[in-house]
Amino acid sequence: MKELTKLEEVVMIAIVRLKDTAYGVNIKKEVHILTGKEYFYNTLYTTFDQLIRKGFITKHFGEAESKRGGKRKVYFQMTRDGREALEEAFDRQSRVWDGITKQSLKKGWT
Amino acid sequence: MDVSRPDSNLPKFIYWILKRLYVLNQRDGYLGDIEEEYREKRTAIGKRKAGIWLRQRAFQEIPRTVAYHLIWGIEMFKNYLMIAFRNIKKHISYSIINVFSFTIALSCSMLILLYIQSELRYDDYHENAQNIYRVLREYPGESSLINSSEHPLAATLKNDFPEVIRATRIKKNDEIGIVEYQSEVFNEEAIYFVDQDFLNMFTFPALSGDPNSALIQPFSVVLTQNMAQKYFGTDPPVGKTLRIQEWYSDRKRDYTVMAVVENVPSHSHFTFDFLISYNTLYSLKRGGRESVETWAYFEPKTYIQLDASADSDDLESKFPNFLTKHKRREPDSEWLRLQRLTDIHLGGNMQFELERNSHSQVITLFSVVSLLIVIIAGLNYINLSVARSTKRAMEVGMRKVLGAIKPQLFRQFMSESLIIAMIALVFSLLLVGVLLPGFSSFVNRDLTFNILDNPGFILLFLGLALTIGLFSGIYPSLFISSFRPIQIMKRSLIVGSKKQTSLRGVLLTVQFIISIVMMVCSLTIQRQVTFIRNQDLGFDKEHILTVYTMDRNLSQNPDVLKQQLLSHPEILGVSTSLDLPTTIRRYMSVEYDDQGLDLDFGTSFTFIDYDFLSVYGIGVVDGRNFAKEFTTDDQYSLLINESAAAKFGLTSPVGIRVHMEGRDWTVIGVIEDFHYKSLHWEIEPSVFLLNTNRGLDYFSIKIGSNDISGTIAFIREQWKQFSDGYPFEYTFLDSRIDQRYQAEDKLEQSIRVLTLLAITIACLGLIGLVSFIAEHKKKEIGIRKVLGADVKRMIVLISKDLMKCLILALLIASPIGYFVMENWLKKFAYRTSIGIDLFILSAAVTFIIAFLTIGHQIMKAARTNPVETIKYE
Repeated sequence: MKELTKLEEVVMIAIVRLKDTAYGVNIKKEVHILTGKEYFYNTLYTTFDQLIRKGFITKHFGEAESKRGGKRKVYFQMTRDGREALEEAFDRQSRVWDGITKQSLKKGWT
Repeated sequence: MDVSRPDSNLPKFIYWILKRLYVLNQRDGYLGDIEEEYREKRTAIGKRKAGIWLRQRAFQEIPRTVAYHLIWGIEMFKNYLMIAFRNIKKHISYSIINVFSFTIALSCSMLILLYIQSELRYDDYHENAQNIYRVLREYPGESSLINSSEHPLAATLKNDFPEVIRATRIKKNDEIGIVEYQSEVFNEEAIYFVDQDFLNMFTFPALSGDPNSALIQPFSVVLTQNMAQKYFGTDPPVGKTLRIQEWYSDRKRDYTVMAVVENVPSHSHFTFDFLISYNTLYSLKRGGRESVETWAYFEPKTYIQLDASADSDDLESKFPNFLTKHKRREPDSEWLRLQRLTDIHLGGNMQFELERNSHSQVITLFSVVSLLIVIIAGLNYINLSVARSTKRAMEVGMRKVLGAIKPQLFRQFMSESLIIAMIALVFSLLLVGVLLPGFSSFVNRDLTFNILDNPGFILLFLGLALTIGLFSGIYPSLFISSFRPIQIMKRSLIVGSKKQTSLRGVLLTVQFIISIVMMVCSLTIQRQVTFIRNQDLGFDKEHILTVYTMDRNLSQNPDVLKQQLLSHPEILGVSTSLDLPTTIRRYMSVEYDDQGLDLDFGTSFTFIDYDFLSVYGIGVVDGRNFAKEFTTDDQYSLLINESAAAKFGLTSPVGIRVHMEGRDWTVIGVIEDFHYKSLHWEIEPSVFLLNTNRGLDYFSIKIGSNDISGTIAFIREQWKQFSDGYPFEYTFLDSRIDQRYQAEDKLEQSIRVLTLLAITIACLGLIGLVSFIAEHKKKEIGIRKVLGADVKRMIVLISKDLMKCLILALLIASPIGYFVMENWLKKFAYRTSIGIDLFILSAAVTFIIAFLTIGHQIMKAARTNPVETIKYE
């Protein structure tokens, strides 16, 4: 299973959290909340494409809206492979951070 | 509903940038999200701030996106490469055909480009090349310009016009010839007499000595590196003297070597081994200085260098006054023109050029031919790709269904053609590397191609390959990528669709036309060259050894040597003459007024001996040859040729008296016409005089064909005995004659090779095409076979279409071929006819090749078991 980049990971988590409201604008906001960084749409869509190519997410169209100038929304959702990838990332993360508390990150901890 | 109006939500400019930032077609998601957020912001913080936010974001992201696309582009490119390679391997035989024809086309173009480049850069190595001009003469009513001028012209121009900063004469040597240093004695011909400005004007770097003062004193000589090596070996030559003897006397003078310069590069319109100061001529010519510095006759070529700021047209306009002042010419009776140094080589051959020039027409010819070959190769590719397209239709359909879009597909197929072009480029670079030495010697040029020296050329070739790939690939790629999946699934794409077949037909016809025209040209040229070679020149040219001697003793008393030579069994005849049959070039005029005729015409003339006619096998058709019994033959008798005799219009001109050079002569005989000029020219009237005591410089020795080298050794021995101290150099007459037609020979060979190539490529294309059709029709053939059809009938059926193309091609090619050849043959006074048989032959050859190709492929297809082919359904 290919490794996820940091951004890819965050985007996928955002999609998980947003459940079925996971489309462009919301994902951007969620990522902003999660990471504190504001990414613009081209980066995000690049990431979406990468993830689609890796087979971790799929997209489907929603309603066209006038506030989008008549364009449809594009929703993203996880695939099974995507969930597996997140699971793996989660496991890896747990192993690495197992037992470590904020305390233990301070100097002098034994 | 699109939003791109300024007063609505997204500013138009930003909209455009954003669209460009993100190439894939994500209008809905991407642009929609942006618009949505923009509107939110607008209502939240106001239009202005929202606009600022938008602009900021958009511009910030540009560098990052560009980088991303680059990387992504490389990925895609690698992907295309992989797929393209896979595809190429899948249809390997077609790919080989394409690579092969591209390689040939590219190699041809490359070689020809190298040749053209060498032609174009003639004389460009001189620093002052842009400002150097040759002075030509033009006369009213004459179409061609003359390149010789009077001796004093150069210096007078320099005196009168301040913008002429340097001037020199170049005179080809006619006065001296045998060069001697210590024990080395050689006949030298490449000697120029030049003025002291020569080495300053032209760039011949000096290896030793001072070029500025090298040619001031009379009897100064400048050597080229080769000559320094030849005579002095490793000793420094400057300061030493060479002894040089004059042609027509025994006088030898010492010439001081003042400098040594680098050898003359091959891309020069003149070349020399020795340079001698012009004022030496004052001592060499009988009349001294006055006989040289006179306006009475024309001999040297005049070259001038203008100041960089001067304008040549300006100067030219001042010439009429100049002419009136110095030569007291009637205005408009003679004009002086300036010819750029760099234009000389391609300006065609005027009479008595210093070296043989070329013609810009040759370059055009070769460019056109190589372009034709490239076109054929390209057409091949298009034909094959389009024909194969249905095979790949499934592939295309699948891809489209899976979401590939037209530009993607287009790019993929284009990359296939480009990759084939690149592969061909690599092969052709190798091929050119191998062929280059042979090609260089063929065209007599120095065509080394050093990659490091010529980065421009690599780019040029790369560009060439890309262009070929591009142009060949566009149409097929467009065609293939525009298939719609529905069409494919429904199998509604047929190979035999009207549009496809007619396109294929057109392309094929064009290829046929090019092949036929080239074949006709090549055959005609070949025919003409053979005709010329076999044309009876009117005299024997085989096995005749010619020796030129400057030994005055020998030429005035040749009889003893002659007898000695004739004692050898293999020596069949010896004659002495002023000219060989091929070197006759002196003219004078003959007057005859008697019997009511008042004639005055020019003839060529030369001096011969008693044996000339028999050695050369020239027959006497009226009257008699010179004979010893008639003791006054050498004072009053004249032999004339048939063309001269025709001028008199008498039943027999024998016995008439004519006036020539202030004296009266009697015509004693008429001899057969023979060609002493090349067959481009008609035979002129010619007279022959006997001379027994003046000294005739050429020995013509007719030898038998046994033990030629032994005979030559014998002759050399005799020469040593009778003419020691003079070099013995001989040539065979037939090789002299062959030299004349070198240009035509080379032309014929090149055209032949190019035609062969063009036909090969066209054939390959035909093979590929036909085999594809045959394969596709396997099913049809299988079914027909089962139904009992006859293989032969099937062949006929399928070849009917091709026949139509061929016939059409023949109809178009004939007038083209005829026109082109007619133009070329016009140059020759003696020529073959353009045979209809050649056209028929070419068409027949093309047809046979096509037919065999088709037949073979169909047989192959027909031989397969019908069960196999129909089973697929």
